[in-house]
Amino acid sequence: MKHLLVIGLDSVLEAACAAAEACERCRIESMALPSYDGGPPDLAALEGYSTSQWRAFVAAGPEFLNLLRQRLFDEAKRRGFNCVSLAHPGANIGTNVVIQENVLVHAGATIGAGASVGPNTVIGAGATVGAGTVIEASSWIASTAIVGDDARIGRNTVISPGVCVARGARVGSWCELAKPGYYGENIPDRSFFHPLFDRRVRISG
Amino acid sequence: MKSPLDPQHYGSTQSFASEQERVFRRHWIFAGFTSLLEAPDAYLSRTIGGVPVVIQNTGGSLRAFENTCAHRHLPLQWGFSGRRPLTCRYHGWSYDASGRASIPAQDALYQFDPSELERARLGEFALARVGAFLFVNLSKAPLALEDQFEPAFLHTLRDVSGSFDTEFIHTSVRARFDWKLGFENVIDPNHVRYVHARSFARNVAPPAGVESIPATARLQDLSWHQSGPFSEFKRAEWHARVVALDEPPRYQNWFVWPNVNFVSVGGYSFSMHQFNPASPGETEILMILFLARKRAPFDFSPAVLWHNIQSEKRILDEDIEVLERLQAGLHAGLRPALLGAHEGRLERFRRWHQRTMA
Repeated sequence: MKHLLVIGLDSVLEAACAAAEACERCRIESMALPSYDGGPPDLAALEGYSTSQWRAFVAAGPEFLNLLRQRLFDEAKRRGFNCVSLAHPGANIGTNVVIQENVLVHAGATIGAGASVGPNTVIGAGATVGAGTVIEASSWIASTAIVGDDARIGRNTVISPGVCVARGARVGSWCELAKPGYYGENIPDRSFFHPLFDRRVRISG
Repeated sequence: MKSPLDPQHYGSTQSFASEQERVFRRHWIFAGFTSLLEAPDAYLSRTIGGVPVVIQNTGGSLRAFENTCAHRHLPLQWGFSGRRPLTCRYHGWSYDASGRASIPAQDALYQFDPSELERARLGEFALARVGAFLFVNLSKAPLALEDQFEPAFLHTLRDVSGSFDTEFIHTSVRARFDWKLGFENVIDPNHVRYVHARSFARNVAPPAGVESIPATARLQDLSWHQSGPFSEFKRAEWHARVVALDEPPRYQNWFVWPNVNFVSVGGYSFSMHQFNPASPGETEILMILFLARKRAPFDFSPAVLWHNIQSEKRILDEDIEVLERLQAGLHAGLRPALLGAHEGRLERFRRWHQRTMA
C-alpha cells in the first residue's frame, strides 16, 4: 500500500493526522505549511515525495472561503498525487453516500443516506449532513452545524458552528453562514452572514 | 476657535427634520453606481431625505422614481439592489419607463377615471450620472450639478470611474451617532493616528501640518479630492489580476458633500462609506467595496471582496466606538467645540451647515 502524506496547517492538520491514524494502516507523514496570507501556496517541498509511493491528503481551514485548501488540493492534483478521503471510524455514514476525494469526516459527524459530499470538503465533529443532501466542492461544514435533508450547499461555502440549514434549502457558492441560527430560505451565491455585520453582506454584479 | 455648531445640532429631532428638508431633499445626493444597474430591470433602492427612492433600469435607460406604489404605498422594490420589473408585490400594479401605472383589472375592479389614472403615475426625481457615480436630487427645481460640485471635481469622479470593476460587495451598518459626526470624522485626518493606531494608521502617513482653508465656503468647496502616499503598502497576489489606477500606489479620497467618503486603496480597490441620517442621533452607514477592473475574471474574487470588507468593517468599528461615545456625551449645556488651526475643513463644513439651517 502507498504511504500517506498529510499536508496542511495548524489544528486542521492535527485533526487530519488523527483521522488518518484511525483510518489508515500505512506509513503516515505530515507536512506543516507556514501560515497563509492569501497568496499561492509554496509546495516545493513536495518534490521529495514520489507519486508512485505516496498518496496525499490536504488539510486546511475555512479561511478565505476555503481558498487555501482549494489551492493546495489543485496543486497536489497537478503534481499527480492521488488524494484520499478520511472518514473517522466514529463518524456515522449512511447507505449510498458518495464521498469524493480529499474529504475529511470528523468523529461524531453524521451523513444521511444518499447524500453526496464533493471533493476537498470538511465535515466537522458532530456535524449533520441530511439524507439526500449535496455538498459541493471545497466546502466547510463546521462541528455541530446541521444541514437538513435534501439541501444543497454550493462550492467554497462555509457553514459555521451553531448554524442549521433547513430541509430542502439551497445555499449558494462562495457564501459564509457564520451567525448561529436557523436558515430557512434559499441563500443566493456570494452572501455572507457574520457577527461582524448587523445585516447580510452581499456581492452583486 | 469656537465651532460654528453647538452640540444640540447633533441628534436633536428639530435638526434632523431641518436637515432632511434643507440638505437631503434639496441637493444632489450620491445614490449608487451605474455598474449595479446594467442589466435589464436592475434596480437600486435608497432612502434619501426620508423619501424611498428607486433607480430602475427601464429598457436600458436609468430613471429615479419614488419607490412607493401609488395604490396602497407599499415599497415597489425591496433591498438595496436586485433585478425585477417595477411591479408592486401587493396587488400587481406595475409601472413603465415614464412611471405610468398599469393596473390589473382596472375596468372590473378599480374603475379609475383618467384623472385618477394620471395621479397613479410615480413621482420622478432628477438623476445625474457622473462617470459611474449616480446622484439623485429630490427637489422639483434641482440646482445645477455644477453649482454643488466644481467641474474639476466632477472630472476626477468621471476619470476614476474608468477603473471600476462591476462586482461589488455591500452592506449597511446602523450606528448611534449623528450623520454629521461620521462625515466630520472622515475629513479629520488627525484622528487616524489615535483611533486607528493599531490598524489603518500603519499604512497612511499622518497629516503634515496646517492646510490653509478660507473660512467662507461656497457649496462647491465642501467636496474635494486629495491623495497621498502610503507609508506602507502591502502587496497581495490578486493585485496582479486587476488593472491598477495608480503606480506607485496612492491613497486617494473623494469627500462628496454632504455624506460620502470614497477611497481608492492604492488604485487596486475602492471603498465607499455613506453616512445617511436614519433618525435623530442615528446613522445608517452604507458600505460598498469593489476592485479595480479585472484583467480577466477570476473565480476567487468573492474571497478577496469578503476578506477586504471584513478588514474595512474592523476599522469602521473603531470609529463607531468613538463616535457613539461622543454622541452619548453631548448635551445642550456643553460649550461649543474648540477647533484648531488645522481643522479648517471641519470648520467650513460646520459654518455652511449653520448658515443653511438658520
